[in-house]
Amino acid sequence: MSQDVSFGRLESIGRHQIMSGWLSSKHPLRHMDLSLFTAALVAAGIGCVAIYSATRPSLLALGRDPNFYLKRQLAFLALAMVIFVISMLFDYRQMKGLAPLVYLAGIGLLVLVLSPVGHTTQGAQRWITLGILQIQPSEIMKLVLIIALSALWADKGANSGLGRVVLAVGIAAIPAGLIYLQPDLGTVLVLVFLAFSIVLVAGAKLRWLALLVALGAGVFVLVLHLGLLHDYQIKRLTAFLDQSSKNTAAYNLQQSRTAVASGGLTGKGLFRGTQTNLDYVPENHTDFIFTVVGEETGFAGSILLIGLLSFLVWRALRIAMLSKDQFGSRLAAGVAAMLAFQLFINVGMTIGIVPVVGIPLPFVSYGGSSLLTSFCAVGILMNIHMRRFI
Amino acid sequence: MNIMSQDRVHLRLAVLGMVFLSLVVALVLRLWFLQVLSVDSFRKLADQNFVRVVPKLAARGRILDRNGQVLVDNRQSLVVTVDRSSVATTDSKNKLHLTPKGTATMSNLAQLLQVPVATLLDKLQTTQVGPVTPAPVATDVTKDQVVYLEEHQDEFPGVSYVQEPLRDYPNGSFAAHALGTVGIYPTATDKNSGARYNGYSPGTVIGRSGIEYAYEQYLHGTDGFIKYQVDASGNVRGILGTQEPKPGDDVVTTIDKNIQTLAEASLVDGLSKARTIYDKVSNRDYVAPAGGVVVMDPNNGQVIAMASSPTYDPTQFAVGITSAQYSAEFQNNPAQPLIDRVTQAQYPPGSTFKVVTSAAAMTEGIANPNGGFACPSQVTLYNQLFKNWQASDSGTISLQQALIQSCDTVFYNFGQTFWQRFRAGQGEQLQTFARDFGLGSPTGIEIPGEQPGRVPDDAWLQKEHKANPVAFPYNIWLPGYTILMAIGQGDLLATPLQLADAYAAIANNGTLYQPELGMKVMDVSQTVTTVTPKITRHLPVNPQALSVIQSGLKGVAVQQPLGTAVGAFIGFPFDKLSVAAKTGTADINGKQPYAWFASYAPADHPQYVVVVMLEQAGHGGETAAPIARRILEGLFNLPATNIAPAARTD
Repeated sequence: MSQDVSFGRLESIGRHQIMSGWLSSKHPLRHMDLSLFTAALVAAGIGCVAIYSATRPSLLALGRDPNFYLKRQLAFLALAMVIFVISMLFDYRQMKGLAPLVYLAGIGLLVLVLSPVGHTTQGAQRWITLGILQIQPSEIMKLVLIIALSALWADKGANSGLGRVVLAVGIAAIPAGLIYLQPDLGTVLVLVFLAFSIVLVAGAKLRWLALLVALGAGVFVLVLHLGLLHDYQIKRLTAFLDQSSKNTAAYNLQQSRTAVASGGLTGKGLFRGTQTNLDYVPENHTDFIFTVVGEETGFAGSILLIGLLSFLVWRALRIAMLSKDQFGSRLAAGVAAMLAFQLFINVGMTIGIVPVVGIPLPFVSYGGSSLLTSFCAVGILMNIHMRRFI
Repeated sequence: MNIMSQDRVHLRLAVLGMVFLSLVVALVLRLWFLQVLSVDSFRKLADQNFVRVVPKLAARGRILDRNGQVLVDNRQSLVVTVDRSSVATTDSKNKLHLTPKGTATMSNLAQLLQVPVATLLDKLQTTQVGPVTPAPVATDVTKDQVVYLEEHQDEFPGVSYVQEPLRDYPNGSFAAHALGTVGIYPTATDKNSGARYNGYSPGTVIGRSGIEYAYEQYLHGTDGFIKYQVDASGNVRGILGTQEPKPGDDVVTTIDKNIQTLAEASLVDGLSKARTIYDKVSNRDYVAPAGGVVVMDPNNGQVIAMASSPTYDPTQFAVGITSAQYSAEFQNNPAQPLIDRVTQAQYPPGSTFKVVTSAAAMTEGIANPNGGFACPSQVTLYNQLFKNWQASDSGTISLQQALIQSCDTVFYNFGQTFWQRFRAGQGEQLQTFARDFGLGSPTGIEIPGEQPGRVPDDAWLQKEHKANPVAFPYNIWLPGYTILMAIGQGDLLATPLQLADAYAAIANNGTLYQPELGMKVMDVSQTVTTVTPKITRHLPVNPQALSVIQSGLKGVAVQQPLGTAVGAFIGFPFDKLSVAAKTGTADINGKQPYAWFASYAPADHPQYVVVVMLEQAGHGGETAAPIARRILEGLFNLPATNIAPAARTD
């Protein structure tokens, strides 16, 4: 059947209502959340500037092209735009059916990373090299898990039982375990948080949620006691607990904190961060990118960036509330949790309130996989938002 | 409910939102703390990170004589250093033990530098630099040797070189005690010197004795620096600023190079001549191991020359002395060349003290300046026999004659009267005068280590008796102490500088000056700061007394046949130059006599005071006076005569 609505016809085909006439009031194109996209793009822009500032002096000192990392990040950004557009084109509800396939593919990639094909850097096996490109499957896995977990619960039918929760734990545990083996503790933490957030929004009873929290704490203690943490991970934990200790991890922490703090209220000025420019903060174009912002733009700039990313989280939660179905809510909540926890952990570790675990700051850190994943996530959010009337 | 109602979903989303909000708030609070509240301390930390300050050491000021001749200079030297931790291990006693690799390195180095391995190893044990600083093992190496080192780094791990400013002594051991020695900052004692070395960089040359030490703040310039911008690997990325060092000021001393040279040569010559004299009392030749000479300007206290023998070459300390060398040449050397016999050696002044006794006796009314005094060959006082140095009786003589002949018995009587006054509660008048003349306390000359001498009195005796009852069994001040003090014997001690200062006060009619070695300080821009003469006190001696003493001293060298210095001044052109003088011979238990001679000239408008002291070299007129004669000849351009031992007198 069809009904006339202004500027077009609304037709029902099966369970779906399809727009005809692209200027009708319910057409997805008319319900984009432009502020969401703008905020993400501005954050990415800040990231490019920060990456340029962080890497230019060292590259110059080495006699290399000062724009090396900037150029690559801009290329990734261009690719991310493409991914973004693609992720808006289809109806997100179609992912529900594809979820198991997507999940298996993700697991497959993770296994590939751990296999001899995987590429090791600095003692961690996190990448697969395809030609000149390196992809980090653990980044992709975050989105994959969001989709898989969100798809676990149906919109109608048996939902809040223990069974689903157990299944959710199982589905989350496999990639978490594989990623843990790389080792990449940071991403494991993010997966755990976003899984918990999705289970929460899915409607699990409070007692199961409490059980999950207890389970998590138990696993953490077990890991510490069984010595399942690597040496460097223990060093990082010690450095966090006692920030005056004498190991390299503590030194890096002090340098990072000093860099951010020395920015003061308004920062030392763009491209004038002495700590970051002179290599006193390691990984300052990737995990510790925030120190560049902190040192060069000070409290003002730091709050601005955090505000921008928080804005994205808020928009994601809003989209979760506005979503037509609960699948969309869970997807959006998962994305919100992913962004929020990554923001908190990444910035927190540069300023010393979270132990150092290597995770990137979404949109800002240098790295293709992270940038692509983040914009894909924003694309999915946009997708949900656009189709909330159909 | 199987399906979550929208409200419940919204509730849970809200809960999630609250959690996220609290995380963000935590971040903001922490950032506020870091970037706003604590920004200053972190800014300082950040700056310390990337700024490296490398000091540019300032050149040390030179030391010149009063006429501008350079006495101490600087020069550049290539010094080979060895990082001790690369070649050896240190045991608990801080002794180094070479590793096998270290042994090979050191023997290679010995071959290259053409010095014995043992010498290098000894230099390794140096204490002149801190334990972490590379030890200088060879100075003044050639450029070729350094080039070889650099080209064969693998044969010499831990070996490097530096170009160092070295203290240069173009005149060798000239005025060593006055000029002083240098060392490298810091050693352990330097660290305990309070604010003296504030702002000094390690490796700086600093003065350790003499003028080098006393005028350190002028000689040491202001170090400059280069501020480097450094990255995390220590690579230099740029220069943030420089400041040129300001060279130290030159110090012009009161010393006259020619007169000092004359004094040193005369002293050495005189001592060697003394050693040829046979002393029948001790049944051997005079030992004469050491002595001191002071030439002073009595009108302002400036020290024109001060010589001490035996002496040493300060260059040894500047280039780095090994501990073995130091032990052998200085510490365990019985001659003790580091001791400055002018300011650091104290002896009973003997008859030279009689001028003080005379001044005291006349001022306190014991002696009539125009009176006559009995001079027998001996007196018995308090059941004790006190002998004159002459066996014959001289009858009644004036006070001037008492000085010319150095008649002990006249002065014993003065001593007896002083003791009686002490007993009667009128105070220790002789001691008071001794102190007025500057004895018993340091003169205040700028250089460190000056000894105060001693004026013994009742209080001193009590203290010594309490501390050392075996050596000082009586705590009663006996008459003999004062009687002997009257002729400058006993526990009375003076340094040659104190004696020169006292005689200068007599020469200039009663002003006791503080002796000075520094005349002026000149900085690079030729700005001059003059050291002004300081008066310690005006002698509380009446002018008539002074004039009696002066006329007495005038006869000592010239009045035949009884003047105690006449023998030494035979043929001296007194028509051209009148000399006032006093001989003295100190008796010390178990040692041969110590010879003293104090003089000034011209007697009526004095320009110079010359004091000579020789250890275990006989009598003042015999061995000390000839040295002074030679110096006076040089001072006044009189024909030079050979130093020869003269007649033995008082």
